[in-house]
Amino acid sequence: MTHSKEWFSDRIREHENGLYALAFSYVKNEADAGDCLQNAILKAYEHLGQLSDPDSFKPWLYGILVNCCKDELKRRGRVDLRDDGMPEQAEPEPRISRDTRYTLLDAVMKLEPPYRTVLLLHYYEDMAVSDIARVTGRTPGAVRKQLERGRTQLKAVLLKEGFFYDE
Amino acid sequence: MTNDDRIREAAKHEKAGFTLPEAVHQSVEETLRSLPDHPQEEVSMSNINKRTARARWISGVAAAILAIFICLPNVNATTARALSGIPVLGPVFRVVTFREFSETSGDESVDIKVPSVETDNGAEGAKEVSREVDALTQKVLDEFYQETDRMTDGGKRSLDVDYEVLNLSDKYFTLKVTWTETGADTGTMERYYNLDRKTGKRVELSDLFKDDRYIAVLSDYVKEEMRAQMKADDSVIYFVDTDLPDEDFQEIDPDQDFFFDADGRLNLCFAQYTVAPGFMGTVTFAIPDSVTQGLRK
Repeated sequence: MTHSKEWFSDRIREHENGLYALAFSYVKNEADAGDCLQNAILKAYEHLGQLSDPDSFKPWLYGILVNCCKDELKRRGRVDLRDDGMPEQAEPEPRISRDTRYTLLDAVMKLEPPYRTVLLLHYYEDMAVSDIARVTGRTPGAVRKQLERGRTQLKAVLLKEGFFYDE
Repeated sequence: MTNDDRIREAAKHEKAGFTLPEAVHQSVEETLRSLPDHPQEEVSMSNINKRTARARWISGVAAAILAIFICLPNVNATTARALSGIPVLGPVFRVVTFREFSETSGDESVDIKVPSVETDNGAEGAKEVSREVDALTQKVLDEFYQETDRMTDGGKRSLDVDYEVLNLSDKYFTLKVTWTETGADTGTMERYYNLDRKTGKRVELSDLFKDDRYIAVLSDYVKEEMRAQMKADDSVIYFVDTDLPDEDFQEIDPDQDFFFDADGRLNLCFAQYTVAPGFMGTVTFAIPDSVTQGLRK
């Protein structure tokens, strides 16, 4: 199936917010998230001819992005040292939200990586379990387990931050 | 309402209000713009060095060299190799903040970000633009300090230099640099630097046209536009048909500043004070295609 550049560009613009949030959840800073997003766009366009069902564009695209983020994390995998050989001071983790208030997204970003990803895709991108499985390369069963554990972790974070939660 | 419902509601609400960082949005747009017209399954490979640069913010009062990718594809080795085999794709432009300097001293403050345009193949056009912008900024900065030394009446003054990439045209990459001086007199200078996306060469206004006829044609159009605007609005003033005809706007510079807008129209830009009183600021005129028909290369 042939998809035009215009069709592709429109789809990317539809999803850029969600893609960026997912990338940020992996790499935890704006610059790297932007890089991963660019790389995913280029890779997706290069392989667009392999997309047979336009309805599966979203999970297909998000899957490419996840792989780009994982590549970035592998590439990083080193400690930055100052000249004196001591590791740099850990800086406060950047927030994705520009809101001055603490948001649900901030809470999701605090979760451990696999739970962060599945909750983002489930709540923010309304993805079905099967699509999340496709994006993350896991089985639907594994995704359901991660969703359940992720919700438990999220509950703990939200309660701590004073958000709604009925016990 | 269950907790799950609440989370969904909160997520929906936050998603609606989420704003992508402008730099990321610009980089997405530039990446999309740089895509070839047709996606290909197989492309030839060649080696392109991966470039990754990260912003490092230096606080305090010091000149520093920073690298920030503000809006251009940061192509990694794999995808860069893939794209390099597509002939329609020209050099990828990258704008970095080459010099950043911020200082407040007494009544004087300076905040400068000087851009430098880089490409993966070292295109001469990008180097030329970078040199010119840096030299002009240094000149403006020297004049600013000299003026401060001359002034005896005190008063706060500031100089800001900033830049923006205009991602409006598929054919041309445009860097807009703005120098703004505030104080007793406020002045703004804007310059537009255009690079051909396919060849990487600097593009001046004269490069767009077959011969010199465009100078008279564009000048006449601009004058008519000035007259029309003044007729429609009393507060608009241009140096045309004034009591001092020798001071009036006569014709455009053969290499007048320009850029192409989102509709692909040529826009001519005139520096503050050159064709209108200072309060009008820098002025821009969009030129319909019909005006330049037959004159363009």
